Amino acid sequence: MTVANAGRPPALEMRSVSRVYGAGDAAASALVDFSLVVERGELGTCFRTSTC
Amino acid sequence: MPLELSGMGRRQALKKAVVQLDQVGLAHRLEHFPATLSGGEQQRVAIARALVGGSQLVLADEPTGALDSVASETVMRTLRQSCNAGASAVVVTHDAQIAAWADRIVFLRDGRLVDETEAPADPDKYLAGRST
Repeated sequence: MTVANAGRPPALEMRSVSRVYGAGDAAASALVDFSLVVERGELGTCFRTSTC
Repeated sequence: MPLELSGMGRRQALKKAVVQLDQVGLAHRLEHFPATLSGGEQQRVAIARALVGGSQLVLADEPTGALDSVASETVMRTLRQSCNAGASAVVVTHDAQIAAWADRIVFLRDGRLVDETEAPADPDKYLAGRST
Protein backbone atom coordinates (compact mmCIF):
# COMPACT_ATOMS: atom_id res chain seq x y z
CA MET A 1 0.00 0.00 0.00
CA THR A 2 1.27 3.43 -0.86
CA VAL A 3 0.16 6.40 1.13
CA ALA A 4 0.80 9.88 -0.12
CA ASN A 5 -0.68 13.31 0.06
CA ALA A 6 -0.65 15.48 -3.00
CA GLY A 7 -0.04 18.91 -1.53
CA ARG A 8 3.32 20.09 -0.27
CA PRO A 9 6.67 18.68 -1.40
CA PRO A 10 7.81 15.49 0.32
CA ALA A 11 10.13 15.51 3.31
CA LEU A 12 10.35 11.73 3.50
CA GLU A 13 9.68 9.07 0.91
CA MET A 14 9.76 5.37 1.62
CA ARG A 15 9.00 2.96 -1.21
CA SER A 16 8.35 -0.72 -0.64
CA VAL A 17 10.64 -0.93 2.37
CA SER A 18 10.89 -4.30 4.13
CA ARG A 19 12.96 -4.92 7.23
CA VAL A 20 13.55 -8.12 9.16
CA TYR A 21 15.14 -8.14 12.58
CA GLY A 22 16.73 -11.16 14.19
CA ALA A 23 17.68 -14.37 12.47
CA GLY A 24 16.50 -17.94 12.18
CA ASP A 25 13.58 -18.77 14.43
CA ALA A 26 13.86 -15.34 16.07
CA ALA A 27 13.48 -13.44 12.81
CA ALA A 28 10.58 -11.01 12.76
CA SER A 29 9.32 -8.67 10.10
CA ALA A 30 9.38 -5.09 11.31
CA LEU A 31 8.22 -3.63 8.03
CA VAL A 32 6.64 -5.40 5.08
CA ASP A 33 6.46 -3.63 1.72
CA PHE A 34 6.03 -0.34 3.53
CA SER A 35 5.56 2.82 1.48
CA LEU A 36 4.98 6.25 2.93
CA VAL A 37 5.39 9.83 1.82
CA VAL A 38 5.48 12.56 4.46
CA GLU A 39 5.08 16.14 3.31
CA ARG A 40 6.99 19.10 4.59
CA GLY A 41 5.21 20.56 7.57
CA GLU A 42 3.23 17.40 8.16
CA LEU A 43 2.90 15.69 11.51
CA GLY A 44 2.11 12.07 10.87
CA THR A 45 1.64 9.20 13.25
CA CYS A 46 2.06 5.48 12.74
CA PHE A 47 -0.48 3.88 15.03
CA ARG A 48 0.78 0.45 15.92
CA THR A 49 -1.76 -2.19 16.70
CA SER A 50 1.05 -4.71 17.20
CA THR A 51 4.81 -4.77 17.65
CA CYS A 52 6.71 -3.91 14.50
CA MET B 1 25.52 19.47 22.46
CA PRO B 2 24.08 19.03 18.92
CA LEU B 3 24.39 22.76 18.36
CA GLU B 4 28.02 22.84 19.46
CA LEU B 5 28.77 19.83 17.28
CA SER B 6 27.30 21.74 14.35
CA GLY B 7 29.73 24.59 15.00
CA MET B 8 27.62 27.01 16.99
CA GLY B 9 29.35 28.99 19.73
CA ARG B 10 28.80 27.84 23.28
CA ARG B 11 26.98 30.97 24.42
CA GLN B 12 24.55 31.00 21.51
CA ALA B 13 24.00 27.25 21.85
CA LEU B 14 23.16 27.71 25.52
CA LYS B 15 20.63 30.43 24.69
CA LYS B 16 18.89 28.23 22.15
CA ALA B 17 18.94 25.28 24.52
CA VAL B 18 17.28 27.34 27.24
CA VAL B 19 14.51 28.42 24.86
CA GLN B 20 13.94 24.85 23.66
CA LEU B 21 13.92 23.40 27.17
CA ASP B 22 11.40 26.04 28.19
CA GLN B 23 9.15 24.90 25.35
CA VAL B 24 9.05 21.38 26.77
CA GLY B 25 8.42 22.68 30.29
CA LEU B 26 11.88 22.13 31.74
CA ALA B 27 13.13 25.67 32.26
CA HIS B 28 13.18 25.06 36.00
CA ARG B 29 15.51 22.06 35.60
CA LEU B 30 18.31 23.76 33.67
CA GLU B 31 20.92 23.29 36.36
CA HIS B 32 20.13 19.65 37.09
CA PHE B 33 22.23 16.68 36.06
CA PRO B 34 20.57 13.96 33.94
CA ALA B 35 20.58 11.41 36.76
CA THR B 36 18.47 13.72 38.90
CA LEU B 37 15.73 14.01 36.26
CA SER B 38 12.76 11.68 36.16
CA GLY B 39 12.27 9.35 33.21
CA GLY B 40 9.66 11.67 31.80
CA GLU B 41 11.91 14.68 32.15
CA GLN B 42 14.75 12.83 30.44
CA GLN B 43 12.36 11.99 27.63
CA ARG B 44 11.46 15.64 27.24
CA VAL B 45 15.14 16.58 27.16
CA ALA B 46 15.56 14.09 24.32
CA ILE B 47 12.71 15.75 22.44
CA ALA B 48 14.24 19.18 23.02
CA ARG B 49 17.62 17.91 21.80
CA ALA B 50 16.01 16.56 18.64
CA LEU B 51 14.31 19.86 17.90
CA VAL B 52 16.85 22.44 19.00
CA GLY B 53 18.90 22.40 15.82
CA GLY B 54 15.91 23.23 13.67
CA SER B 55 15.66 19.71 12.28
CA GLN B 56 13.56 19.45 9.14
CA LEU B 57 12.54 15.88 9.88
CA VAL B 58 11.93 14.30 13.27
CA LEU B 59 11.35 10.56 13.61
CA ALA B 60 10.03 9.70 17.05
CA ASP B 61 9.36 6.14 18.22
CA GLU B 62 6.96 6.24 21.17
CA PRO B 63 8.17 9.70 22.29
CA THR B 64 5.57 9.88 25.05
CA GLY B 65 5.77 6.30 26.23
CA ALA B 66 7.18 7.20 29.64
CA LEU B 67 5.21 10.40 30.12
CA ASP B 68 2.01 11.28 31.91
CA SER B 69 -0.79 12.93 29.97
CA VAL B 70 0.28 16.49 30.77
CA ALA B 71 3.90 15.94 29.74
CA SER B 72 2.72 14.02 26.67
CA GLU B 73 0.62 16.96 25.61
CA THR B 74 3.60 19.27 26.07
CA VAL B 75 5.75 17.07 23.84
CA MET B 76 3.12 16.77 21.14
CA ARG B 77 2.38 20.49 21.22
CA THR B 78 6.09 21.15 20.73
CA LEU B 79 6.21 18.79 17.75
CA ARG B 80 3.05 20.38 16.39
CA GLN B 81 4.62 23.83 16.61
CA SER B 82 7.75 22.59 14.83
CA CYS B 83 5.64 21.20 12.02
CA ASN B 84 3.65 24.40 11.79
CA ALA B 85 7.01 26.14 11.35
CA GLY B 86 7.87 23.89 8.40
CA ALA B 87 9.48 20.80 9.90
CA SER B 88 8.03 17.33 9.40
CA ALA B 89 7.59 14.61 11.97
CA VAL B 90 6.59 10.98 12.09
CA VAL B 91 5.56 9.65 15.48
CA VAL B 92 5.06 5.97 16.19
CA THR B 93 2.63 5.35 19.01
CA HIS B 94 0.17 2.93 20.59
CA ASP B 95 -1.75 5.85 22.12
CA ALA B 96 -4.85 7.07 20.30
CA GLN B 97 -4.73 10.40 22.10
CA ILE B 98 -1.22 10.99 20.81
CA ALA B 99 -2.18 9.92 17.31
CA ALA B 100 -4.94 12.50 17.37
CA TRP B 101 -2.35 15.29 17.29
CA ALA B 102 -1.33 14.30 13.78
CA ASP B 103 -2.47 15.57 10.42
CA ARG B 104 -2.62 11.99 9.27
CA ILE B 105 -2.61 8.59 10.91
CA VAL B 106 -1.40 5.43 9.24
CA PHE B 107 -2.17 2.10 10.86
CA LEU B 108 0.46 -0.61 11.15
CA ARG B 109 -0.30 -4.23 11.86
CA ASP B 110 2.46 -6.81 11.94
CA GLY B 111 4.72 -4.50 10.00
CA ARG B 112 2.18 -3.82 7.28
CA LEU B 113 0.51 -0.53 6.56
CA VAL B 114 -3.16 -1.48 6.64
CA ASP B 115 -5.04 1.80 6.63
CA GLU B 116 -4.78 5.56 6.89
CA THR B 117 -6.97 8.41 7.96
CA GLU B 118 -6.87 12.03 8.89
CA ALA B 119 -6.77 12.52 12.63
CA PRO B 120 -10.31 12.17 14.00
CA ALA B 121 -11.80 14.71 16.34
CA ASP B 122 -12.44 11.96 18.87
CA PRO B 123 -9.87 9.18 18.40
CA ASP B 124 -11.23 6.96 21.17
CA LYS B 125 -14.67 6.89 19.60
CA TYR B 126 -13.14 6.24 16.19
CA LEU B 127 -10.90 3.43 17.37
CA ALA B 128 -13.69 1.77 19.34
CA GLY B 129 -15.34 0.87 16.07
CA ARG B 130 -12.25 -0.65 14.45
CA SER B 131 -11.44 -4.33 14.30
CA THR B 132 -7.65 -3.78 14.39
